[in-house]
Amino acid sequence: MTLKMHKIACLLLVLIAVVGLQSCSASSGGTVNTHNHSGHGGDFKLIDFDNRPFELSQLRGKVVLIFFGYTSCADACPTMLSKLKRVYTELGDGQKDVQTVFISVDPDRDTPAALKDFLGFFSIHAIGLTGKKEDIDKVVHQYGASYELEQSDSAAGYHINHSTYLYLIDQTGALRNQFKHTDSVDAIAAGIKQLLK
Amino acid sequence: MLKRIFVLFVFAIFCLCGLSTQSQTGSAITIKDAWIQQGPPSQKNTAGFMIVENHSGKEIALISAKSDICNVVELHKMETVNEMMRMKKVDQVVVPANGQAEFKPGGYHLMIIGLNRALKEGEDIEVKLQFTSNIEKTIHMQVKNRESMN
Repeated sequence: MTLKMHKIACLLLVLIAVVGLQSCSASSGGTVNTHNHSGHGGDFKLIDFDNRPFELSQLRGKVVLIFFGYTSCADACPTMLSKLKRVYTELGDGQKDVQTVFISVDPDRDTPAALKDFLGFFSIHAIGLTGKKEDIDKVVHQYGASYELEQSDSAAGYHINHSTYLYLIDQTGALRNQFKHTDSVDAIAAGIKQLLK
Repeated sequence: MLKRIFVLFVFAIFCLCGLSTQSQTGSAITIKDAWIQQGPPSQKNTAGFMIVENHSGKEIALISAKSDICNVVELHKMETVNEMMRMKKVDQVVVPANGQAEFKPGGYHLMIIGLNRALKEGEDIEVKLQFTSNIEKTIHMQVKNRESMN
């Protein structure tokens, strides 16, 4: 290999390294999360917290955030809903085009009234959904979420262990992204803003 | 006579040492940033968080807690297992010698079960903590809106 070829090879390596670093930096900037969600998402039917039939397709034209949880949850669910309140604030005028959908994975305890009371406390644009366990399970599977009921000797009764992803649905009903519960308010808001442009 | 006085003196010294040790043990634990999460008025359970500091040279564990505002307070731990947030009841939370144990969202919390009234933001709730080594601590935990804590 000649000296000139060596120099060209070195330059190419440096170029690849710079592009790679920029790419990593962009993805860790938090605007877009790239958790694998291929093949997931889609329409579904459940019951809303006013006891009315609900279809995701009703929300076409809006950006939708879907979260699976339960109202007796003492930690992950209040954390996410409180975080979403701050996300809404950050969205400013755009928040009117963003709808949160909280799907209960505890239909035995989460009545529509309990869901309404729970979500009302957080003062965000949220609809609570429940339904038959098999219908809820179908949606859980459809979105690649997971949960399990765990018996406990706690006075609080059984626990529900559940995944804590926040699913971002675009105005056409397509799943575009999923955030982790540890993602920042800024990262979630930035992901939503990309769809509101 | 002199011998008796000497024996009494030694006994008194022992008593003072004992009292001194007990006093240090009593103040071995301090609690910081104690707060209770405010929830919807109808919610019967909530969580409490705090930092427990152990200033002694030996390990101490929190083994129970109680409060008049609820039926029972349990010690719970949250952890992520197989991408699921899992909650479990634990028997104790160890506070290492000259270290601390943090009760925070996503980790340990006081699980406050069966609230007998709605909690108002800003109010102080009395909670009694029982530690090993017979240490008892009464603390006040402020009710806070979770939104302001993120």
